[in-house]
Amino acid sequence: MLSTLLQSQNESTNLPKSPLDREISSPDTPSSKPRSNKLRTRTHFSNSTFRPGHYFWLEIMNPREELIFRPVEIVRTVLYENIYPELVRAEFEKLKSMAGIAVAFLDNVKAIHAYLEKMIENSAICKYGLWRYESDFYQKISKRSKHIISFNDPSQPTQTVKDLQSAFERHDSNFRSCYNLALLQRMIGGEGSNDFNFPL
Amino acid sequence: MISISPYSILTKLFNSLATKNEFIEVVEILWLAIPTLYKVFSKDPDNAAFFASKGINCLNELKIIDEKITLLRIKLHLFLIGAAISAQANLKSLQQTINSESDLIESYQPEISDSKLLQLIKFEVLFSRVLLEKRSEEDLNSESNEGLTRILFMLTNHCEKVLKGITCEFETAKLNVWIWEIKLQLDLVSDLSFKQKLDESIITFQKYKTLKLEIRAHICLAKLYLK
Repeated sequence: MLSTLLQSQNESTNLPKSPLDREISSPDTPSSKPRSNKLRTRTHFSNSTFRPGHYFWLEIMNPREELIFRPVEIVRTVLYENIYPELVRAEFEKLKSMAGIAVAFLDNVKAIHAYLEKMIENSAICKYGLWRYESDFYQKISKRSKHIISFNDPSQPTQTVKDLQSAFERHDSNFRSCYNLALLQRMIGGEGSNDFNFPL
Repeated sequence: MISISPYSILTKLFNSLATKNEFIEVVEILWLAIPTLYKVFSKDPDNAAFFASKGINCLNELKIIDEKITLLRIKLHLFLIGAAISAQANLKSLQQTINSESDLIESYQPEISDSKLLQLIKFEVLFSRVLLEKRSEEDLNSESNEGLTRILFMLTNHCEKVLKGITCEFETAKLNVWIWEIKLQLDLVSDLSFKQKLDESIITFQKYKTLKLEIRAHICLAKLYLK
């Protein structure tokens, strides 16, 4: 539905071509990535229905060789003004996904020694004693953590510090949104969220 | 009229409890991982403490009664201590942070029933206090034998005693490295017992992939051999 909507909007408004399309015809651009990789990514995006730009209820950005979808501010305001049970459920799923992504980041950071633990660390980097998790949920997300962040190029699972830093910056607003108190209160027993209404 | 069977009530109750557990498991991972990620990646050192405090505020507002949530609160207060140490805060503000956070941690401890967890929490607080003592010695530019002896006394008489009787290889390894570093400075190496202890520490650090601490242990071992 989204693609149809965007396609029709593209056709009707005659939007300018995406910067990615313009980028394709510049073979002399210096690059650190292999040419074959870059071409494959570019072809993928040039074939895509989605074009970066500001739409009625959505923003599509392409900071690098990827597309980021974000609802415009007014949509978020309207959505969170009236919190429906479906939204609460979706937000809970989002929290679970963000927990998975956070664990994946930490595992990657540790694997490449991007951050070295101090004598007094007291953070989620620690995996011992007081800081160890034993929950089923943690075991589940920890197992698949290696595959979560390497979305840029699945053939190259090894991340560099720079890769992790830029991936983290892309998720910054997602991490910030994990502290929405009104939504959290609805999750644990607010009105209209029966599936999540647990006795305390 | 809609009939409600006992089975449906039980199913609903089970689902609610399962969801509660799931919610707590998600939150306990997420709200410690997010401040940690900001500590690692953010250019602003205050961001990590900001998100830890935000997590504590949310937990206070949510008023969930569960031991795991209490433990998360304690971890977040310990995180604030760690963040203040990492941010190289000045001695006075570090002292204030450690004192106020330790008081809060102490107030939550009665809610924890697991004795091992309680001992580990106590260890972390004491360990921070030793570091505070060390920082005050450094700030006074003294690092005198008297000061180092006091730090060594705190490590061996307070921290080491807390860890006795519980299995906690990593905490013991950290403690051993610090003890032997100070013994080296004080020239208190009279036997070869350090070798075995530091070797064990190195193996533990390798197991947990803590490279910095492993290097620190190797340096300590090399210095002790050269004595």
